Amino acid sequence: MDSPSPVTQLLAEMRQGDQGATARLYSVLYPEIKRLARSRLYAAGGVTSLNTTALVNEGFLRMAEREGMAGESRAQFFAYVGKVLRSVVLDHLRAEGAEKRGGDQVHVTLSQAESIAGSGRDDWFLLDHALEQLKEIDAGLYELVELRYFVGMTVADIAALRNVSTRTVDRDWVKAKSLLEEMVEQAP
Amino acid sequence: MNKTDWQRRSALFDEAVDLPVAAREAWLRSLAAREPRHVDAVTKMLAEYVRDTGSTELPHKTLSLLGVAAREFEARLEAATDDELRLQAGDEIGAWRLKEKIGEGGMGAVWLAERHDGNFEGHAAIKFLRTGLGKTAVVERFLRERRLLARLAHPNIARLLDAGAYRGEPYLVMEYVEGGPINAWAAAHSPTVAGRVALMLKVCRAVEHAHGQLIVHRDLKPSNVLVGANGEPALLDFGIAKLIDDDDEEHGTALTRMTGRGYTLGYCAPEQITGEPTGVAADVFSIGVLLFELLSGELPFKPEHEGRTALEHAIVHTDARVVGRVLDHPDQQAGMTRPRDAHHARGDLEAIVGKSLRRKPADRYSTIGALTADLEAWLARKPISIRAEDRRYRSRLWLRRNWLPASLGAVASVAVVVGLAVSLWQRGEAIAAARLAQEEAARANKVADYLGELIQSASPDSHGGKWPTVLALLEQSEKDLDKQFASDPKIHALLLKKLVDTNDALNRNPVALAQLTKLHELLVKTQSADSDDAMDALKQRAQILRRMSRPAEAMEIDEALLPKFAARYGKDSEEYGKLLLGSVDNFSETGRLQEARQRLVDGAAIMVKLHPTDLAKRIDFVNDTAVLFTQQAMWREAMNTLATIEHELPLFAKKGGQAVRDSLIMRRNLEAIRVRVGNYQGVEERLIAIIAETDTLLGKDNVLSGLALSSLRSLYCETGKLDSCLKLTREMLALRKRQPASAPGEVNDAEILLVSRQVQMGVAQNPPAAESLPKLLAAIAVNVPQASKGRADSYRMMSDAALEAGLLPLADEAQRRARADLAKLQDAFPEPAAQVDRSASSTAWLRGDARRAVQLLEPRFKMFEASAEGDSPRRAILWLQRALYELDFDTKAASASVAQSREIFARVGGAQPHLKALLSYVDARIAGNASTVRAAEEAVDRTWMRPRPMPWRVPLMASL
Repeated sequence: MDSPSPVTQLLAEMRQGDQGATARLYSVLYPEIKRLARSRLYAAGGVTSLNTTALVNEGFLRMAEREGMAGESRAQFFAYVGKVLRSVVLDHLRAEGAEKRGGDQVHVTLSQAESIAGSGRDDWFLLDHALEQLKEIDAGLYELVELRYFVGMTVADIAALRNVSTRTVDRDWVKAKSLLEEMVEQAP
Repeated sequence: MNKTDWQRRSALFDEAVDLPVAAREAWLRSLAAREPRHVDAVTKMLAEYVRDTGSTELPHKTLSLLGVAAREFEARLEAATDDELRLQAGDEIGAWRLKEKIGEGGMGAVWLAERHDGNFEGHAAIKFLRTGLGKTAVVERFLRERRLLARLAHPNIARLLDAGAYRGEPYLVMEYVEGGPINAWAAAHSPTVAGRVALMLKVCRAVEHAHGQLIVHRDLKPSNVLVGANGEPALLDFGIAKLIDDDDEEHGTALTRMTGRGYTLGYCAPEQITGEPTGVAADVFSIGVLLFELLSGELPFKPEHEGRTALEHAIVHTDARVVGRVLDHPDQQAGMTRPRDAHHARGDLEAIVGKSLRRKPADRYSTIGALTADLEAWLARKPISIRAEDRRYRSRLWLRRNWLPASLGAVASVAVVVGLAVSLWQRGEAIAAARLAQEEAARANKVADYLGELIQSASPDSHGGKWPTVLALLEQSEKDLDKQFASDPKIHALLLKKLVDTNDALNRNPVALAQLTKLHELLVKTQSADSDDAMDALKQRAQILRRMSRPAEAMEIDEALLPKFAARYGKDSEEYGKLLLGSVDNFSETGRLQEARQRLVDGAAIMVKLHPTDLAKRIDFVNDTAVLFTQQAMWREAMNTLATIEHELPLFAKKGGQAVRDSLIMRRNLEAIRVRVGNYQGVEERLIAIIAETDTLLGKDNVLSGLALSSLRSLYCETGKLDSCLKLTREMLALRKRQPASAPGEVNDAEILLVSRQVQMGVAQNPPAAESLPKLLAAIAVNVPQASKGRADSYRMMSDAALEAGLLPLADEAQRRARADLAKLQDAFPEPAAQVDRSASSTAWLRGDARRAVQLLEPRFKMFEASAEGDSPRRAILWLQRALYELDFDTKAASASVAQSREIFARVGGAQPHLKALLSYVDARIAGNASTVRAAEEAVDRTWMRPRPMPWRVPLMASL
């Protein structure tokens, strides 16, 4: 490839702390992820359920290979894919919740209030919130959660990607879980 | 837990894991002595490590975090990606309730449904369009086009009843047709050739009707052409294939290639496979395939190899088989479906089918009308139009394919020449017959033909190489309409009406308007000025004028129409009521708000009377009317309207379920409006009760009780209960942050409000306003990327906050952005712009330009003068604000203004202590006694809770 493709370049800019690059990468990946997820569902005729591992393997592994990503940048890329997958879910939950409601809104039409009730979704926002905190305290553990839980990579894959032993990955997983639980317990 | 703590704990865990298992217990005991705060956590982590980390890795689906299983995440992702999979019987989609899934096609699931409000008897089929694409684009396009589709009214076309988007997924609601695919029906009933042609004629006429409305089917196939028990055909899915394909061009992805375009191999035309532009010719081709199948029992293309690719290749690169050949060498299995008298299909019918199945669109029938005419001719045993041409075509083909043997064998060559001579004679006859038929044909046909031709002309060649849009076609048609139909005003009017409706549906207002003028003239000429059609044309004209912000002209029309409507339909009719309600905007947009109000009241009264008995319906309607009033800033009317049902709400809520929630919403609405008009009596207790009931119903932190809380906050702020006001402002922010579904913009707004409050009351903030406000300003555009009324409001709030903090350049910038947004919106409601002006008035005054400040209050005064809002404490406060400005340059004026303020307070109440203090301050300044002024200043500081050094003189009515 002659010039760096947008994704590789955006990742590089992201590493240098360019917030704009993060947003642009997001706008590249978000539709792509939805598209891939849908295509998987349709290919299966809606019979089987979605499997993130397979989804990511099919779509993004190929992208990573095409972009020639390896090691750190590859881990970062996949962690980012995990984050985007997560926001697809959160956006959907939010959209289910309600449309934008202005604080000073005087009048609510009945149809606007259609979906104001609802429960069970809070767990996801809670988890999302805790993950953001985890990122602050230990970025490595955060990345691990994205890769293992959301992207569905195996411990062996992650170990190879990060050039560490599977034992270290196992250990880190226990740490991440413990820290996340503690943060939720401490939350007001 | 902070970073350092965590690093320590993490290191401790590593240390423990590296120990031999036997040594860990002792190590933990010593840890308990050394660092007790980590011991529990590390013990737990160790236990988990031992339990989970065996020799084999746990499968991904068993992973869980915070009690949420990874497999549940996949399920959520699936739901986010495809809501449709979660549909089940009983689900309500708009006004429809799903009964059972009746199909799963390439495009999506089809459900049998019924209307749950009883407004429509019978069943409907809901078709979800699984587009697999960026939802918004499809939905937008879909909503635009559905108005066109809804206009298809033909007995043989399944009617489009409703359409919309469910969780962002577009769907169509169609009349449910009980019947089977046309080919299966033919196999079961085995009609004769003539019977099959008669059936297809009905199909053709329906397609012709649609083409007349500029709608091409593009996916005609047996499963879209159903035949009911009564033998009548019904066409499904008109125009849907196009909805999907067009979007495909913009977002071509691997996925759409997978899900397939909106056509069906076997029935589609070659140009659909190659992706070339398609028009009516594609429908002609598909009809040809259907005819072929019904007549011969087989499909026209039969490649040697099986499979999609081979079939595609055959359709694109080879000619369709000839019906007669298939009859000569039938496929053994297809025998069952062939008509008993199949030999009748030879000759003319074979030629008609052949003409429809030409590879090149230009070689086929130019319109369905031409095909229909030939089928009719065949049934009537008259000569058909194309036989000769078809013979010649086939001769040519024959020559081309067989040129070598033909040139060698004289016999073959002679046969061809004889054939030609015969067919040329037939051609002359046919043309004469066609001319006769055309003269007999009704006007309606001519209209349809014209529009058919119009679509037919839709080829890239005649439109600068680009595939023309419906718009381009409409433009072209305008040019030659007058010429072509000058001699026949009735057809001209019919055609114009179609064009007007199409342009209207597409929101092409100026064009529709010009055409309406012409249409009205024609209707007056051919019918009369008082005919229904002529009056409807005028009514439509007024609607379009309003949409174009030309209310004065719309008013002129509506006012002339009202007496006519009253005479024709009666003053208590829905038609009259609707016209009245329609005319509300004529007045409100020309600033005649009194009259607007009267119209709204009168129209609402008629409409309310039309639903007297059904409590639920009436409540729904009353709430909608109140919304209309609030949009016109007619708060008192909104309040009075809602108050008429207030006592009925408890009874309504007894119905349970949604009614409980709806009644809470309306109660909250009513209290919010009472705060707005300054009717503070009893509001606090009622709002607190509403919040408690809402929390019980919906759980804590729900959005509804948040809205009630916001009204309570306004109540406290406006009535001078400033401690409670600050407390609730804080709570609103905390609530917004807690609410999972809050948009970032809402949190930001709440933060601006809080900073603004804190500055006003001199409460310390961290970081200080000078630091936090610019950041909050920048965040507005990030959170809400598009201009909207809400965003303009956020900027206005920011301006008020900046003013209170004394940050004038920041206030200027916020005002500038608010104005820019409002200019983009061309909002018909005057309030937001007037509020920005009011904010700007404070900026001007703080810079020492009190006269300008007074001028900037004008728009806000105008709103009151036009009595959109009526008298309220807000109006009294506005006079007070003006008096404060006028103190700087005209004490007499100030004295008059403060008197106005007092007079209104006396009438409507709401003069809270903090406002009374300001009134006294203005009085003291006018009197000019230094010590009285100082005493008055102190009273203001006390009641406004503002510490000395702050520039309390900034008029504080910001949020009012």
